[in-house]
Amino acid sequence: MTKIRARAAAGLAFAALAWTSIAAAQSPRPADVPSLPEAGRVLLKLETGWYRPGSFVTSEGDEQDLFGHPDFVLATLRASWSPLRRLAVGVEIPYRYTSLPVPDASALTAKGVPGAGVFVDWAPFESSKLRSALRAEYFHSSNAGDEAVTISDGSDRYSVNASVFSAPGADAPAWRGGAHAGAGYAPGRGGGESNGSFVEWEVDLRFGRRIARVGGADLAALALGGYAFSTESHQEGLVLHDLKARRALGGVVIQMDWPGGGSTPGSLVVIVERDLAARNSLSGWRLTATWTGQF
Amino acid sequence: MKHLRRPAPAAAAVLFGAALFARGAGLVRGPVVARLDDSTAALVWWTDQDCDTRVDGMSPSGEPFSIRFSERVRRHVAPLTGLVAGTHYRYQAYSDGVAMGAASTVAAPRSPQDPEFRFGVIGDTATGQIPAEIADRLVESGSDLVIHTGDVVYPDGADDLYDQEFFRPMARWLSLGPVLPTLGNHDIHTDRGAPLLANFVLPRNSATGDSRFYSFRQGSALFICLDVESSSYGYGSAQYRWLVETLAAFDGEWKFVYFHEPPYSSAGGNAVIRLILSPLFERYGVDVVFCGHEHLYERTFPIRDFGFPGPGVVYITEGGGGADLDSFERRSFSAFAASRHGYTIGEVSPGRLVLTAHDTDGTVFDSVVLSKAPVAQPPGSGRRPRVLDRP
Repeated sequence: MTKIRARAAAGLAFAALAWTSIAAAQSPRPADVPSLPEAGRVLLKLETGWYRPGSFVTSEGDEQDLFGHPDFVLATLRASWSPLRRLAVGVEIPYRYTSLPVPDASALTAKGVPGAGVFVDWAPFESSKLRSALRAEYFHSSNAGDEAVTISDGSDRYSVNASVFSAPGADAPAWRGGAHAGAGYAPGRGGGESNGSFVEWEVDLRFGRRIARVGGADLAALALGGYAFSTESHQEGLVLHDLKARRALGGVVIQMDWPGGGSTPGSLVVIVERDLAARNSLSGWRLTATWTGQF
Repeated sequence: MKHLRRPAPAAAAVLFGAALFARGAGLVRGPVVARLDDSTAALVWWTDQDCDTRVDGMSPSGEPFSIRFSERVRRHVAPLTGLVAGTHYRYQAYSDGVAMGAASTVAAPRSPQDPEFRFGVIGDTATGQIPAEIADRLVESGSDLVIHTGDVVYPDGADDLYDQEFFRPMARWLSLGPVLPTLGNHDIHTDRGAPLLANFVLPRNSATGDSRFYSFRQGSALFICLDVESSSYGYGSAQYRWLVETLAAFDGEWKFVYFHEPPYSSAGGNAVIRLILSPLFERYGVDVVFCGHEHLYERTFPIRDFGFPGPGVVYITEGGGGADLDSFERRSFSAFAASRHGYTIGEVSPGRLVLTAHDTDGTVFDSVVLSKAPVAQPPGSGRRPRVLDRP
């Protein structure tokens, strides 16, 4: 790629980031950063997350402590295949387990597959220093049901995600970092205030450096910061509120990349993050681990 | 300073008429009836200049009374103490000798031994015309009091809209009985609800010393107003602890709780409130929870342990006070739902509660009877009513 073409592609990617930041995702999911396999190969990505909020913070900033400690576990398998260079198609299947303690009773639990998604990934540019990806996805949610604890909010979503990240590998610079933004639109479900359409967006930035190289694998540590906004409060498969929600997050990323027999390495990314300045939103700690392998 | 005297009946008889022709202080709003605590009603009015406060009244048997405060104020609050519980009194308010509005009647709060009464439920009042129609129906209903499920003034609870949007449309009712509101999400847009708290005189609870959440007793029933918009209600919060103490201490027959956002609604609902507060309602035997927020009427089956049907809490959403109606997709916990403007009337009697939902013209479009054996109830036992469905 020439320098001019690389700059143009970088400009396009950042324009996409800017656009998606206008539009919207209630749950910042820094672990869910799109990446592509090489042409003709399959990329598998398994993301497991454990979220433990201690409270719900209202629009006015009042913290409503929950009884005990709810646990939200989400495992998501994404498989994508690249028929052409810089283009991939994929599917996404999540599995959710939720446990909510209640006074004088055993905890409410729910588990199952909350839906499935299909997506198309496109890499506007790639170089020895930078990687980019743009994802368009449709996610179909299963029916929410009328239980107190649900694994799905019942809202389908159309979303766009974009990312620009430093490239891994021996030739890459020691610094690591990048930006990720996502926007989603959920059509209305035909009900009242809480059943209308809503929009979500999120953005997160991370920056750090390689801290070690072990047996051909790079180990990097990065600081993470992000922000998310939604016109309704939908989180962890629950419809919590019908008013605008927002929250920032901060955390630490430990990333290990190892050669995968091509330009797309295998990786293991562990993120510990904390909700900050939440409004009309759950607030707590989240731990995610994402493994990526190319076949 | 308060002066209580009893004028001669002959003199009192001419007070109402003569004062109407006096000049001086101008009436800005009221008089409206307010409720201060379990046993005290009050008359409240606002004047355009500082002046004194006086209420002359008369019992049905012709026994006169007069209440005076010499302090010169613009917001006049006259607690009606020393009245016979449940009795209707004729009254006339004065400031600096000038009659404030027309003479009307006010009922003293009922005693715990007086178990039969009616109350109204309204919510999400807007547009003026619909609240005015509802006010007329409330007058005809014979209710003692009205609870308001929040969003009193749209769009932002602005202080300068209270007269236009609420007090003038509701004037006919407000001169007879109190409206006791909870804070809605629109009400708190302005100074976290300060205008609502300034425009209504309400019971003050001992937990925070203000009226964001409060309780009062009427006859055999306990009414608890919660604030789920501007106060913490989470596990262990001051409001949560106060709610537990208040519910546990009540030894009467019926327990009603009201706040703005419904935990159960076919138009959405607030899952956080459901998870935090609903187990508490069930544990302490709350009979009915009244909410608004969604602009419709809905009644759930009795819900317990997040399931139904069976003995449990009935959730009523009464948000049809005039705001644009919401559509809904009826959920399995819903016994009845309708996108209609209107109000709800509760009729309390020993062992029996009849709830009827009305259109603005008074037509009944839903009703349910909750029944329980009229026996003494140990505190906090949570004796459950049986739903008989139709009256």
